[in-house]
Amino acid sequence: MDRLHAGDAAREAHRRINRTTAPYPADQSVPALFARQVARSPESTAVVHGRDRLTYRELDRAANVVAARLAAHGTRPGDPVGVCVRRSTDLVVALLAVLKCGAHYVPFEASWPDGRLTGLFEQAGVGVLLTDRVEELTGRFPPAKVVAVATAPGDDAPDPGIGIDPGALAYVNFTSGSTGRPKGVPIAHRGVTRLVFGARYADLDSGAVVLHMAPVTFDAATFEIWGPLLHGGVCVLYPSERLRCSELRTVLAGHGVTVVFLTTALFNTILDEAPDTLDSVRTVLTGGEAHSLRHIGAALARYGPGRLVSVYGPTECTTFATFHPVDALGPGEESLPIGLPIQNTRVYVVDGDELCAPGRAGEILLAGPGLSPGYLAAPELNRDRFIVRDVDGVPERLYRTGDRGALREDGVLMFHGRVDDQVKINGYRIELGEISYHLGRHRDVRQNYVTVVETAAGEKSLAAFVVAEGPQCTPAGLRDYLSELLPGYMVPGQIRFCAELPLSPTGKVDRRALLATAGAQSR
Amino acid sequence: MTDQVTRPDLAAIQEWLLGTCRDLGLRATGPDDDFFETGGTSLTAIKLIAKAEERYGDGALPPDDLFTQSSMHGIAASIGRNATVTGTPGESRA
Repeated sequence: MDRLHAGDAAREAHRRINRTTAPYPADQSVPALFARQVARSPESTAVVHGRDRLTYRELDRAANVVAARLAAHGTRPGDPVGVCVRRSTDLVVALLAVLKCGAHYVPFEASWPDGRLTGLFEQAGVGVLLTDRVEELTGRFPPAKVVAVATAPGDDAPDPGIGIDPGALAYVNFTSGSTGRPKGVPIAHRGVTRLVFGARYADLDSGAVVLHMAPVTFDAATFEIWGPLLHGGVCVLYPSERLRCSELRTVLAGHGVTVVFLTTALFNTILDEAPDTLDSVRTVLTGGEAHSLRHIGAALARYGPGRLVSVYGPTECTTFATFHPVDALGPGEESLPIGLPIQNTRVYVVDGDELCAPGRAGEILLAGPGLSPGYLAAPELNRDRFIVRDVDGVPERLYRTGDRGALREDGVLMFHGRVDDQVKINGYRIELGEISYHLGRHRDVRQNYVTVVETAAGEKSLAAFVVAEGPQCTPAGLRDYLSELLPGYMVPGQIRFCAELPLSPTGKVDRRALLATAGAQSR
Repeated sequence: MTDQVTRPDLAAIQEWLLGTCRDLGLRATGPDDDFFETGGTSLTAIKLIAKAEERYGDGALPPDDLFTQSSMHGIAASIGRNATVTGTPGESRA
């Protein structure tokens, strides 16, 4: 086995920050841990959505009913189940029901293009779709069976009673892939328990009231749902489809929400437009993109220390990998650290085959039971991204994040950008290469370059520069073409034509020259 | 505040809306321009709704209205229907 070499300073620094072992129920599955809470406090509220409310007993019973229905449609342990349910108590019922079958959920949005969904289902092996949109989905994906999630109050069924290995899969989320094919990231039950037990980044216990607002196709939902439900707390579902600051303020205060997760872009928006929204919340977790110190400073001034926690982590390491409580901003601080590893998680900064001493930049690698077992059906990619190395005399399975960072002298991890062209826009992780791949396959596109520009309001947005084959090629036509292939958040807001792509002396597209000549600001 | 709500003037709302959208970085110049086609995103929508509520009262611009009637004219009409304060400068927030 290859070894990661380390000088004394590097070895000591990594040993110090990676002492994160904490007791957690590594031998239990998510449904088994949920069952403990049902037994402990069956009449406690588990899920709230507007006027709908389910106790632990009611949620358990509804999930048993749906699990029996799935089993009757042939769902067996180890099977994937596509889940498309609007944010509602039925959504939580659906997720729990799938897990009770020993199966894993594959959340998707009905608004994604047919071709993309068909590809995802093939990749994940999905043959059953559990949904509250039975009519809309029936016949859209012919071989798939469509199963309704709705239950009636009197329905009852016994618990399937399936023993589930905590190493079995719990769900699959998809992230953008630079080769034009989305990457399926499976996560095991143990990844989820490692995230929510012994949490260092927020108080998770029977008093926890956690807001669920993230799309369930996005792994923040893992924390938002299982964080409270495996502790006997309350999961409060944001009631409307679309966010309104005043409604968010009412929901947070009205239900006594203790923990909320907000993407960086949303956090900044709330700070700018309606900072009173978050006044009632004990812990605000925020992350997904590099933070703006101006907004962090404003939040500190308004909410005070001990309330704000920056979190970082790729989907491949189950939601969060590091955290940084923001209690003060040092004078002259230029960026916010991404912090220290959360419980049962280890972080390494690696350059080549060497661990980096504090101050030296390298790629951020992650380890621990939160790691995905590896992308679906992508052996080559897995060999590249998931590697095993001897670290300090111990074999360690590592995930290469593609993020660059460096340890500060005190061991806190600082973020230094990407090693590739992956970007984050409003919390969505996007490989520019995936968009470029599809543009390049259009017969009227000779060359293209996709990048991120900033709008006059300071929002990040995608821009594509295209050298066209002929005058029949139009921005609207290309946008329609991409909309058939990609989810809306990956379709560039502006598509600009140019006679050629300017190149830098090294032969790469010269982004600065391109933006200058094309006048590529959003106005 | 009295219970009697005086509806704000639609032309005034329109003017406020166009100015606000321009401040948000949109290329909107007239009542037929569309919020999303002139550069609005779901995040810009959250900002515009918060600004509308700040000026015209909570609930002044329901998100579903903005997403289904997204022309400047349609947005202004929704604010006209849903405003709980007239939005004249100096008036306190509802």
